[in-house]
Amino acid sequence: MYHVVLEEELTIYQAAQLHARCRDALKEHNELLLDFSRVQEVDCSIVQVVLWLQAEARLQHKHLLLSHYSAALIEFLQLTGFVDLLKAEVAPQEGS
Amino acid sequence: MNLEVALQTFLEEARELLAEMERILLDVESSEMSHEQINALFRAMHTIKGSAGLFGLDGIVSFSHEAENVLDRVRDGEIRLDAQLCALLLRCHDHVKDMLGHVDDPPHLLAMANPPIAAELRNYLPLADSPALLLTDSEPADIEPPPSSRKWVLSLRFGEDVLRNGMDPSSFIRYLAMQGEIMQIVPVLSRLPLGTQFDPESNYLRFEILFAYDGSEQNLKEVFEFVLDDSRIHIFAAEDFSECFSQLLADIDEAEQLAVRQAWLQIGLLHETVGALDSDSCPPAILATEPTVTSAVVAEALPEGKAAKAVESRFIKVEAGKLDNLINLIGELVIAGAAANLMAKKSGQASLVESTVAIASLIEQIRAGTLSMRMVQIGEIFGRFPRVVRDVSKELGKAVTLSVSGSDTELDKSMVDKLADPLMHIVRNAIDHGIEAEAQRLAAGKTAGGHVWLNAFHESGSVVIEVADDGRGLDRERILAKAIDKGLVSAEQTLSDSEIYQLIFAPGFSTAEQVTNLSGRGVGMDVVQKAIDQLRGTIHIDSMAGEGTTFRIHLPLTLAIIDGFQVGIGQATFVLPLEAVIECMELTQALHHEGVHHCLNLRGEVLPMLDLNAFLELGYPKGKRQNVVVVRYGDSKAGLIVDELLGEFQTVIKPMGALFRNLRAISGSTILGSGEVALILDVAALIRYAMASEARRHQLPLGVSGNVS
Repeated sequence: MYHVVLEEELTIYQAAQLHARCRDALKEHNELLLDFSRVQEVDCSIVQVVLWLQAEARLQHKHLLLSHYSAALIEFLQLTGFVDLLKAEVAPQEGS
Repeated sequence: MNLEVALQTFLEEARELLAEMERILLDVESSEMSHEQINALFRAMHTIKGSAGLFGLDGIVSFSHEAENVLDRVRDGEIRLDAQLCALLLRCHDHVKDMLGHVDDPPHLLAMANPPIAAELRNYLPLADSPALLLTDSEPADIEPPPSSRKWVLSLRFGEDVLRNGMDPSSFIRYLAMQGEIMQIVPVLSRLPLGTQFDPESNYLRFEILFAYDGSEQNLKEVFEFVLDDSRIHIFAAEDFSECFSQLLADIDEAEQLAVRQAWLQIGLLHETVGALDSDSCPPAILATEPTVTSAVVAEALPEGKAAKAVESRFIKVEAGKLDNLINLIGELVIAGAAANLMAKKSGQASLVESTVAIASLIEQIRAGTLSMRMVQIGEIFGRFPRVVRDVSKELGKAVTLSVSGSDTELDKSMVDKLADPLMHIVRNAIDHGIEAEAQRLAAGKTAGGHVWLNAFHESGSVVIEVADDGRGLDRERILAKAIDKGLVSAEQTLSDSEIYQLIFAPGFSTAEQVTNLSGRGVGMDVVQKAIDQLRGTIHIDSMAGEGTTFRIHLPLTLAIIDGFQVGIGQATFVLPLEAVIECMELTQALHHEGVHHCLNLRGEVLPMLDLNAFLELGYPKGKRQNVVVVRYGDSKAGLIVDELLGEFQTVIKPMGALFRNLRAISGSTILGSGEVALILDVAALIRYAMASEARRHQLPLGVSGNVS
């Protein structure tokens, strides 16, 4: 399982970079884990990238795990109604 | 204080704050910003807003409030001050400056309150601060909607470019959540492409929202004012859902129609049967279209304004006229003090002499202090140049960096004001004609971006200001050809490089195809020369072909009172500016011998000498003992032969009458303690004369000049 630990700040400024990083990771690995534990700031562009990655992984029959949601991310997903679409498969860690 | 005076004070203060703001912003474009600088930016807008509120300048209040909000977020670290935001803030600065020019025209001011850049500013805000909230008294933001709130159907079809334009759909949603209650929200993802078609910076997300809100449709509409260009926002009351639903399905492809249907099924407003109904009977939904400009007063600005006023000011503003009067009086005091000193000496009473000396020293301190009040740092004008360079270089498509040094060099306020235009002219000229286009620079083995230096420093009683560039340099041959063509010089004349460069300042050296003229502006460099002349300054050019050009402006330090050095020639007394005097020595017989050639060998350095008695045609018999005063102006030195050295003396410069204005060697007059008039010698002119006459001697046929050495 290949781990991608996401940065604290994830906004449109990081979207292109994150997209490239995920695309490459998906190319090389069959199992991917996105660790959101450090994420403090997030916007819609990032959610899009994750949604895209999710769809791509499904298409390529690869396994994608979204994990360790930070409080900031959970709040964002609840606000924007994505919480059902992007379910974390590993519970958020306390204090991380 | 009457209101008019207070208003003037406000305007003055606001301009200073804006200048400070501009300086910081330009600074930051090239480097990291400190916390203090961000605070200063915030304070500038905050204070302007507060003070404008006191004067009822609502337009300024409402606009500066927007900028302040953004800066507040920058200060709190919520958003980063990147180049884009800097540029936006610079434009805000310009706009506030514009508005300050219209304070006497309130309707105009109010019309300026909501320019397009205000919208850009709001993009940096969480929507809680958007104007819909600010400008509407009826809707307190943070009160939860009462249970009776109306329900609204919102369909937010954000355009592809919203993210690129710096707007995040989630910030609208966040704002909605603060205004009312988002009862249900369902994202619509049908547009999200797969594979390589996905562009992470395009927006594919759309949202269907059921929203409880007790404000008006209009207010709800205004929330989305800034995305209307490329987005389709549908808003209608939930009770009209069955009639209006089909509108939601217009203009979208099947996949999205399906997704929208599913969304509303999920939300529970749509029942399987409804969606298919035709919609012709439907009253038009509020398809938010035109942004509405609302301008109203921000009442909260008032108390803040008072708080801002309470910040203690470190400066007192004094009317320039009062200061001029004071300086005149001190001039008289200096003269009267010198007279008293002379009398005391004559009376031979030691205690009287002692007390007049004490008074004289106090007078000197008062003089220095008063004059320093008129002195301002040249940074005041240098500060404008980063902006000028930035704008001009953008306009011309050249990358130009500006380095400024010596901004703390002090200069008389009246000179600083008059210096701004000629300097501006030279700098623009340097960028326009000095700095080559990028391709040319690279071909010449230089860096792609040009460099312009602004430098100021004090040098022997004058202030030197240099404007240098690393461009192509002046084209000596072209200037000469042009000057000959224009009849400014004859083809036979032999001219030194610097004399040729100086030709560009000639009034006849004008306009079309000119080597150093600003294209399209039709203003020649003679304007610069004229302005510098008025300040009793001089301007010189150094240039190396292919390496760059330096304009060097020498200006006298001050205009009113100087430290003088008195010398006597026969019965007459003359004054030299003390700062120009380097040293004095006795003209011994040995030295005099060498003086046959009007030259002085000063520790190996050959200086031209000028016998003032002869030069000024005074006709006094030669004194028993003669002295040489070595003076300097810029890089040039010369020795002046005088009879007596009378020492330092505070000199109040009195302008010469109109009749004497054209005397080149005399720059002014002063009144001595004895009541006699002494003339102040113009060192620059004397040195020029001495050097020119030396040069002329060297132009003699070789056989003669061979004797000299």
